[in-house]
Amino acid sequence: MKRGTGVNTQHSRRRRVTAVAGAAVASLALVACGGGAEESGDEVLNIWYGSEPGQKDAMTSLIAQWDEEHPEVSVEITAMGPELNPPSLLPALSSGEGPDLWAGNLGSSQSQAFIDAGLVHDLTPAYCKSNWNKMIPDELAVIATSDDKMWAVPNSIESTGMFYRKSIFEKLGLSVPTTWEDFVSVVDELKNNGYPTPIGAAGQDAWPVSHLLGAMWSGAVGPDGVNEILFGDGTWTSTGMTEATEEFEKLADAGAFGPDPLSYTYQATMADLYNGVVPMTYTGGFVIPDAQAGAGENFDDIGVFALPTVNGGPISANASPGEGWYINANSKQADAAEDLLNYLFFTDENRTKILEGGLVPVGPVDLDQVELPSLLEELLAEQNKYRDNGVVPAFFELTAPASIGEAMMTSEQGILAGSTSADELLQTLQSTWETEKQAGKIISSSGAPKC
Amino acid sequence: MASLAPAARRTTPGMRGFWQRRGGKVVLYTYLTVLALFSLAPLALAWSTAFKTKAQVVSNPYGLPLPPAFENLAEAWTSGRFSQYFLSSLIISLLSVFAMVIVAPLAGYGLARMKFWGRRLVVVVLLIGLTIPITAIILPLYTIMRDLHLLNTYWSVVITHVAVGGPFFAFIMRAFFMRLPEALADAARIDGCSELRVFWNVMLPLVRPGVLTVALLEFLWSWNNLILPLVFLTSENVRTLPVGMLLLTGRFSTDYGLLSAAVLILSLPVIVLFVLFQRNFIEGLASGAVKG
Amino acid sequence: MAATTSGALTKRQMRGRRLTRGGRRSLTAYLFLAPALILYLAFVIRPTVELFGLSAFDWNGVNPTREFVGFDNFARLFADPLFWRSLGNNLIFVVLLVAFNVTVGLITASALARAMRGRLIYQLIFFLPVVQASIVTALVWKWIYQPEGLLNNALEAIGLGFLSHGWLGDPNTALPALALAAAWSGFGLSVVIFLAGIQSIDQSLYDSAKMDGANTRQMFMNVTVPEMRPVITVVFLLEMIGAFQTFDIVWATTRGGPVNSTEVLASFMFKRGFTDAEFGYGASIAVIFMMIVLVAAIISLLLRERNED
Repeated sequence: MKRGTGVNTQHSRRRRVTAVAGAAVASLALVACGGGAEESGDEVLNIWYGSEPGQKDAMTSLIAQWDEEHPEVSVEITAMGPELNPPSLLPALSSGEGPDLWAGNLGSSQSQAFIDAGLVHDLTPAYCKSNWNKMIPDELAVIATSDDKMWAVPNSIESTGMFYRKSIFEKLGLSVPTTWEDFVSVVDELKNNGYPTPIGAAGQDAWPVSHLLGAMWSGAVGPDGVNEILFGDGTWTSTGMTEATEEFEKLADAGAFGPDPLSYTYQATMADLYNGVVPMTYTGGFVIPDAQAGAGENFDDIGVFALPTVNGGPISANASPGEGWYINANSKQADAAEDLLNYLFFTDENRTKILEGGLVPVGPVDLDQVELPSLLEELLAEQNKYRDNGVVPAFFELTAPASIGEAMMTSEQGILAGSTSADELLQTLQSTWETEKQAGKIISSSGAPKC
Repeated sequence: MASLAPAARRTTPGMRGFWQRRGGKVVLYTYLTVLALFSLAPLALAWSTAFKTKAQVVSNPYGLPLPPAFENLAEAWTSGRFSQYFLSSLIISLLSVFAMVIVAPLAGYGLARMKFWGRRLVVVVLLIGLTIPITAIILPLYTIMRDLHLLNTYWSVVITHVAVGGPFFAFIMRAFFMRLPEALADAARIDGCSELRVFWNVMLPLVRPGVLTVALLEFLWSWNNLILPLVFLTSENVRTLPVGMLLLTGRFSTDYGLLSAAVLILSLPVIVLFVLFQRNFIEGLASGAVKG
Repeated sequence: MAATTSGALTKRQMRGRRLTRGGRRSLTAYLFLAPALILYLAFVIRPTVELFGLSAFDWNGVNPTREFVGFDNFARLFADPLFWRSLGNNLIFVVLLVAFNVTVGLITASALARAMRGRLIYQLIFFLPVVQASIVTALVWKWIYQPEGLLNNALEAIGLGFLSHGWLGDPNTALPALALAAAWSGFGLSVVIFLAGIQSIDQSLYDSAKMDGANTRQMFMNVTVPEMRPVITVVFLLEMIGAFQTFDIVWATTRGGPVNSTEVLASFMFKRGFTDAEFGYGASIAVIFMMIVLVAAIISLLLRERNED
């Protein structure tokens, strides 16, 4: 099959149905110019989802359950894809409107602007009182913290890895690489044996490339090196960073990402992985619910391994929070919203349900109790193997201002197009970083809120 | 031209002569047909995909949807909530049209038929309006709508449509009014009619095609607009079709069958209107531009 | 004053009467214009004025406090290489789009004027894309431009497979590819306007040109183009303003990528304002953006007036 061939996407149908069912509170009878929910007597709790598809299933049914148990409040969910949130949220919140509760990007410039403007409800009391602090590991809590206050509940823990097709590796007699040299030779073997695109880069969307390059960076400099750069005096142009970026450039120049890396979106790349056209792609656990439905019978053939480090250093585990759940400071339903967050993310029963839905909730979970998708289990096992070496962020750009993320994506596309060099990429990032640092826009290292 | 001598035709073919010769005709129709294919192919792709099952989308991406399947349309219409989005779009467009056919002819008549103090300034200020992108003023506009308590109501979008489109449609109506002979109005004035009566009883009935043009174009524009409902209407009860369509493009997968069904639902009403009123669309637009 | 002659008095009275009549006339005219003008001033001009104000502040769009920075935003803007890149891309986009729509529009209109058979159906087909929503244009063309999409398959089918390409993935082709998609949705409009213009040209001009022995090219250049000049200006103006404000089609396809090759002023502004939460800076971009469109519009209007004189 050729690249880009469509794939059966039965799942998307189910996802939308659920998204819609959640909002079915409002009837079709609305004709006039009212808008909003005007249900008699009830207090309404408005929720905007910016969440990834697939997560909605488990989450939506839990929210509906909570809604049933709380007759004094009625929940209304507005389905908000990643396209809709940014342009809608800013004007709404800045005008004192907007949802009571929403799931949005953690650590983004927009979220920080909301916090600075006093538009986000302070979750620190709940964090301390309801023992959330015992559940959320400090390295994740940091990302939802500024000025020693907790502003969001992380939706999930996300980890990344190199996803690959086991049967293709088997057919060519390849084994999972544990050193960088092995990895490069695997890429070469694939390229020379009928797979012109050994690694799907999804360069058109660019953010998947940031996950890969970020993993190469943190592998090269290790957890301490990452902390040095993000919170200390380290630079983006250090030796480890340079080595990793140059290796990335070499891969690109050698055609490891195929003849047309910038022409494929993330969707197209994943479809190619499911169809066995692309043997490997670097991505995260967030895709698993989708892969389960999208890959169909090929799902069991997908495996995952931790990317070897370019300089032979130890491999670390990686983790980043997914989206964050924020409460509107102007909400009259803040208490109810806090209660809902507590119900969703900090009760054992529901955490298990979320996990069964393919999403790893923040904090300790008993993996033996639940039946997990094989791929998720493999990803978690791979992470646990290297946890002793420390934990690095899965999403490097999450801990930096938006300008860094944008500069990363643009320069990565430049490398894939052959118009930017590894050196130029790092120089750009370093100078962007210095500008932001001077403007006081980088995350402080104060750590999680003290209780 | 038929009377031209063969020798003369050879030396002075002329454009019309060229197109009328047999070779010219072949070139002419080949050119038009290629261009028509260019216009039609993208839409044909979307429209036919709307009637394909998921398996057909993969196995037969460019063929006819035989037998036609209606699952995509049914799904978009019901569980995709497009029936509701359709209703919102329809209400917004009809309200916008209703407001515009009142506002634009009045203003167009004022501009075309009256000499008044500051006329030039008014024209310039209105012309400036044609160059202001909505994207640029969306945030200040949002604050205004909030203060008027119009957010999440159809009015926020309708009012902005009429305010932004007003100058353009006023100029179109002005072009229609300018073509009427002044003597008509003068005769009515001598009969003692007030200016409003002259407008209403004498002039307006004569520019009915212009009003229809304004109504059609305003419908088209408000039906297709994306940015205003995206920002002003955040409640799902009032969400419109183009916004709903944006929702269909997820990060992980695009269901082309469903997307195509959405394209069909979004484009069918304007196409039906356009085919029914082709002359008004085209003549109105063209005369506005050519004679205005 | 008391010694005024009757003649002067009459003059004054006359002037007074004229003024009153003029004043009443103005009042009536403004009553006619009132609904449009009031809406326009309240919902277009007022936010525009506020926007100019915003451009002098460092503001994230939501914070209750904003810091006055004078012209700092503009200084920063002119030093921002991405601004110049966006402006350059936007100009290229405008030139490509306007060139396509004006030339193809004119040629097609003159062809349609000669095509007795099927003129209406061709015109209908050319106009169908014009009535599509921009989001439809963007999503359908994104689909067509995919590496295994309709365009590459069509190229392969006619033996031009070597041209097949990731059209939106290549920084060299992404911008022209988007311009072509925009041209698809716009050229039908220029065709119908040009056709109306051609049909209103006095046929005797062609006949006398032919008598003088003019050839096709000469007739086109000496009759059609000069006669159509006002119409060309209108189409030029409409297309230019539209092309400058392009946003939906970029946002729903490439978002300005790859490597900023399709970043235009509107998407640049949107990113700064909404994604980066730098609303003051975004406002300064919007101000410059409007100025450029305005200046370009005024210049073409002045040219038009000069041509008409």
